[in-house]
Amino acid sequence: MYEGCAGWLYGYLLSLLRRPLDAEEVLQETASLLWEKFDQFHPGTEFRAWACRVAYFKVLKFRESRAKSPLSFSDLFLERVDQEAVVMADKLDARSAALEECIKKLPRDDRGLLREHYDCETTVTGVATSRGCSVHVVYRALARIRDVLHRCINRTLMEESGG
Amino acid sequence: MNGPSENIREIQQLLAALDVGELTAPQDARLQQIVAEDEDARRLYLEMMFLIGHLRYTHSQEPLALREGNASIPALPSLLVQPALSLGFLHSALGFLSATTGMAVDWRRHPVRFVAVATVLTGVAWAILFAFVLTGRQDGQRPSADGVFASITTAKQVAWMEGATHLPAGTAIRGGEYLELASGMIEVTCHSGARVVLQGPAKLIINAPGSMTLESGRVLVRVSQQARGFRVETPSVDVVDLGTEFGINVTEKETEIQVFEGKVQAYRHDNARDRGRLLVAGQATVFGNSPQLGFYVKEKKMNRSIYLALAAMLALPASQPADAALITLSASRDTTILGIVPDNNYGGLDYLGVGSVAAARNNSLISFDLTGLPGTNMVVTSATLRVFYHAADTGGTGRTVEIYEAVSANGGWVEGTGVAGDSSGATWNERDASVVPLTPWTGAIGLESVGTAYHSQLLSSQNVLNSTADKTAVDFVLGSGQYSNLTEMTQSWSAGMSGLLLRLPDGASLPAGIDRVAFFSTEDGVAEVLAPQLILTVEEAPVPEPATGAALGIGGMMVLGFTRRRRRRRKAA
Repeated sequence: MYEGCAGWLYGYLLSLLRRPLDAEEVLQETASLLWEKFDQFHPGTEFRAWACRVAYFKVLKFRESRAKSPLSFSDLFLERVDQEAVVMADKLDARSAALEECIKKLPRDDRGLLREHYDCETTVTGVATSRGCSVHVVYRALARIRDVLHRCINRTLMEESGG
Repeated sequence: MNGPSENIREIQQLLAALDVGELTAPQDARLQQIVAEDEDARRLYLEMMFLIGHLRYTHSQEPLALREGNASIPALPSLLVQPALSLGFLHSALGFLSATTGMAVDWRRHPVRFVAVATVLTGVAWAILFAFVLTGRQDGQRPSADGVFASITTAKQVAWMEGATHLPAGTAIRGGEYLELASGMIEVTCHSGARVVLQGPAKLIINAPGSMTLESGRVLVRVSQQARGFRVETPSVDVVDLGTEFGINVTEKETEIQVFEGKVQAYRHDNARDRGRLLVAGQATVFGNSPQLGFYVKEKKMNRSIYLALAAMLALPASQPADAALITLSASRDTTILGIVPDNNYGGLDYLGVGSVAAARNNSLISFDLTGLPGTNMVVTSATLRVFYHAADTGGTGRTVEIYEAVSANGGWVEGTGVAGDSSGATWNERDASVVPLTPWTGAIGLESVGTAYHSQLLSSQNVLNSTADKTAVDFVLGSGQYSNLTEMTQSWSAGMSGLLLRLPDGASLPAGIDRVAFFSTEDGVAEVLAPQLILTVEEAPVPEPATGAALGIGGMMVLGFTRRRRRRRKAA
């Protein structure tokens, strides 16, 4: 069950926390707590919704621990993103599935860039150095690829729904 | 306060900074404010964050290189190198255990079972790593990322299969590209020197300069001496040319090979140790694989008639005269400029619009790098701007697109990177909004003044309908404009091209909504080659015949003699 929604939870946490390292940290804490509290999960209810509540609780804890951080956490922002993510949960799942197909359609170079930036977590400067191009070119390429993927997902879902 | 569309644009810019870890505290506060207040921006934000999240987490659980054979910049599978994700991996292990036992498992209560699973999964991880290394090694032998191996040189009454990419004559073909023909014939000329005629229905993949896979259908192959060793893979056998002309017909059950000239060696596709079977001219052989017979080979009577139509196409002196060449260039820069948002650059968009948006014009600019073209002794006999129709971001039934050349003073425009509109390059108002002082267009803004912003001679014009299928090639055959011929035109462009201006005719209607057509830009972002292309037919300049040369020589002497006589007369006077 957790396996099935870990990716979704990460997206949810990243949306709330904005920084990948913070999202990963809270995801680990959430996972630990989920295993600890698994007895409290009622079979027949939706695991993701329950996991989401646990994760949100962890986000609030995390916010407390970072009270002195220059990055603020607006209450309204957390509340609205949480609500919207739950409302959009199925749609976001469908988007993730479509994304896999869209990635396959990307040119090889673009897939290489995605892997370098996201899988290997190379900084933009690092990617630019390894490719012998300017940081600006890498920024631009990443923005373009994200936009292309986003559009591809929209198109795929529209085609699937017969729209 | 921003309007909704401004919020969307701002969110996109903030997301770009966020994704590369460069979101400042004030930007973060602004992002939270917009997301909290604007529902559309919030939805877009969630879509993009889940996209980024998927790329960072879910997607990285399975290395791209392992699945797709991507060899550039090898990297360890992230599950082996990212401590933060190893917990996910551990939970995957528990999930796996849970699934196999049908019950939820607490690893702390079942340490032995947990260790066993962890061991198995560690083994799997090493297997993945091993496979990854292997894949990387194999990839070294694969074609380069941007390798164009062949081109479609002729197309005759072609219909493509549903969902297939439509590739007209002149299209460059990259390694791994599928040609899915429903009917008609195409001639594919490989850079290695092989010429192949494919007859639909058929499916063919160009693997490398000297190799292709015929999944189904019929091909006639003529291999030049330099392309000896050319390989055609089929479901039953792999056919390796030994200097020849041969036909292959792949049906659901069998592969039939007829050798017309020379010889080929056919190897069983399912057995790497097969020593092959030599087939010589005049021989027809059928290879098959059935549950009852296993792999079988049958000799057959030659039947040339089924290849007659293909041979007729191959017998043509290719699609161009022997001394002509087709040169296809991809656009070096392009952008679209909008009168409604005159200070915004959209150089990063994947389309070029031509038409009107909110009662204001939308023009586009395309430029090519023709350095070194055409060479000396070359004559350009045709020039075509090929753009690929972009079905999204259009409106209305269609528009007439006119093409002009921008004046050289407007040549220094900068493509820019704007996707949601920024000041990174050319805008309706300026050639490059990223620099100070201002760089207004010569002539009117938006290059909207004939003669001063663009040359008055129309290079091409065409009515493009919005019922056009996505990715369809739209060809604009270019005239020579203000030049005396196409050779002079391309020679001028080779010294620096100011750019082709795509615009609506004067007096065109400019309705309130979106009423435009769109073409893919250089930011096409998809596997196919969809960026604008300039296709030039280039021939060698005719070398004077010996007789003509002699006549010229005599004529030259006569002219010289005349001049001398005149000088003498002048002297005498």
